[in-house]
Amino acid sequence: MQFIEILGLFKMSLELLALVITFFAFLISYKGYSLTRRPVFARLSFAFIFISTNFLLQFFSDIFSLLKYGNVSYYFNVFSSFFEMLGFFFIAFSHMIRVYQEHRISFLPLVIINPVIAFKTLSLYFIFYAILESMISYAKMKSKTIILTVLGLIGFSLNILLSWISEFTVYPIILQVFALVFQAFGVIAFFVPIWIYYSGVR
Amino acid sequence: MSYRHQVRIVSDILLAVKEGHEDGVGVAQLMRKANISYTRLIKILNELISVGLVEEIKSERSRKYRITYLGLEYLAEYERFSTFARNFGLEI
Repeated sequence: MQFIEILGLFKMSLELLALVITFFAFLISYKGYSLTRRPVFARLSFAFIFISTNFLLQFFSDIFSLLKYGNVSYYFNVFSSFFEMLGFFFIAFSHMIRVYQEHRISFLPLVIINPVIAFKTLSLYFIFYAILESMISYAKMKSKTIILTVLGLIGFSLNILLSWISEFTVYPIILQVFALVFQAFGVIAFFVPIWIYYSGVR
Repeated sequence: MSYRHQVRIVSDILLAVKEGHEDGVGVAQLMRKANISYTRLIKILNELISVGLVEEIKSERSRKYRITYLGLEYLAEYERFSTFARNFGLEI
């Protein structure tokens, strides 16, 4: 088995793990919305179901790529990037609403180039915004788990950034390895709030 | 300044009632601890009693309120969701 195939399998396993974790985050958010009817949980439900769908489509994209169906894989990749962008948009949007409620001003610059890169760019903007606002929240709430969520978001953003750069490089393998490591970090960091919810630890 | 929504007000009242333990808490104390007006407090307390989250202890001289097991469960669940949102830098 070649290194590139091992890397592909690792990536697919990571996507499945991320799919499970984000789906659990969706279930908690949806339950939160059903019980409290607070819009923050509706936004988090949308965010996590879209991020979860992104991992599922990315998984299928990799399967089709492995089966040498390049075209099908490409379209799955486009849709996956779209859902990823939507998911991170809803996380950023939740922060925007919170900021708006606190009477501060926020804005998001937008750049569009081509489908995958445009969605990745938008995802990056949304993640950076969420990171920034999460850090402000940490300064206010002093909850250590927020730091972990911030690190998770940084992991996801570096994964997106490196995958984005690897589209333009001749030998993208090293960048893809680092992208996967950062994605793994992001997935693990996002697992912590779910673990806290189910274990009841504060 | 952000306003308190209904879910937050209910949890504040339940927390204040919980502090009274088995003896219960009077209306004046609840108004002070939950920072709420008399009319609104009585309206919410009646709703909480009707759904079984709080029970009323009536005596000749006073009327006190005590949290039920269901109320404690509600508070614990509220805290779990609140922590979940807070871990993403958000508030309920």
